[in-house]
Amino acid sequence: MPIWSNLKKNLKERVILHEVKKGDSQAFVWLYDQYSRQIFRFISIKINSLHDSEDLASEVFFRFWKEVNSSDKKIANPRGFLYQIARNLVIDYYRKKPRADLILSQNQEKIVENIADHKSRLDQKAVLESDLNQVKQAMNQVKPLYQDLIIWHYLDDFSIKEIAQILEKPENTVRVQLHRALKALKSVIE
Amino acid sequence: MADKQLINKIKQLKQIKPSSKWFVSSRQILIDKLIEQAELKPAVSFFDWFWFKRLQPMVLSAALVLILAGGPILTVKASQASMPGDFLYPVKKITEQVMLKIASKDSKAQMQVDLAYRRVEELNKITIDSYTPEEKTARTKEVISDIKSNLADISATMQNASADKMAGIAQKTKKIEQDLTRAKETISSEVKDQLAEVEKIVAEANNKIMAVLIQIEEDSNNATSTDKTAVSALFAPTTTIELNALETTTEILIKKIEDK
Repeated sequence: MPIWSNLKKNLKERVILHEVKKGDSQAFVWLYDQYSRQIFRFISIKINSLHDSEDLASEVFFRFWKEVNSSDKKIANPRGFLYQIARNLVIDYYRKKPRADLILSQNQEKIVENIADHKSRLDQKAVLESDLNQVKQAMNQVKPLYQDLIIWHYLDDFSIKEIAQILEKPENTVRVQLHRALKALKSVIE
Repeated sequence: MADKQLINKIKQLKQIKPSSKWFVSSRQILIDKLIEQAELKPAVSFFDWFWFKRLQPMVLSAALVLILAGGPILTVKASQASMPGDFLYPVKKITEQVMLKIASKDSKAQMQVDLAYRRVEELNKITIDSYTPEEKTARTKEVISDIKSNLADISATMQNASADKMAGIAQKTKKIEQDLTRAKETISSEVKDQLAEVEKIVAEANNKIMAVLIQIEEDSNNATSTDKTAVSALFAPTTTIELNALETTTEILIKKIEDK
């Protein structure tokens, strides 16, 4: 029942945010436990360094804590706000890093290797590694907004409405842009 | 390439995960930073529900609103994804207790067993999820304690259950017994004793259920066709495990006859 799962989700996150604002570190840790893996994934798809992905992902949560506790900013959606911070950190990361460092590095392959280790058969490992590399490289070649839309909708299961709230755009605009994002990714892969 | 094929390729990226080492160390670093930064109360333990107890009036009101607006079944469904240690897990348990209180006498025992089985499913999930060993042990302890409370007075409540409900209860308790036996192989030694206690309670419940079913079988001349079908279905084994259960039942039946 979507209406009840949304009600539960909204209630849960509003209570958590309320507690985080009061300086409750345990509520904040709950947020970390729920979303750190997704935030890490979001960042590591966009940048090619495992080490930097880990650092940035941790920084997202620290910034979230600082923002929530130091400003009276109204946050409607804590999860969305985490992603906004992650986006901004990735933009800053690209501004600071020299172009030469932004090519596919050994660290990126390491992300894929860690996943492939879960599979026991060598042929499965090889296929998985190759597919993941292909998609990840293709994602790196579409524009950042398209990357965000694809990750949010297809990996993190954000609804169009939630994405529209994060981007502060109308839902129809998001729908059209998502369609374009898929098209762009498809043309890179093909 | 079709869109569906492309989306499947994209979804493979879901396999990108951070290492558990980073997850745990980053968590600890964040907690340390927060404590250092301001006058915050330290995160003593993941399962320190002191802060939740402060929230409890608010959470209870929220649970009541959900129950009154949505009905018992919808409310339980809304929170059923929560796991031990999760924020909404106590809300899930509160709504389950409310449901149990308002259940009819006939369905109470079934509900108790269903809730116990839900705990067993949570236990199965905990053993395969990627928690740290300490988290696993803590969550397992909580779940096992809950199974015990769920089955606390099952012997009394099952007296009020009808025959077809009894068959359902028996099948569920058998499944609980089987799953607990499997869980024993993967849980830590710290909780094995507690699990053994729960196994004993389940075995006693099973024996009591069998005794009631035997009585129904003996009275089957007066039973309705539904009762007979329900009981016969229980005694018709389809797997080795059910065959073993039938052999146990047969021994009980023989003993009952010899004792008469």
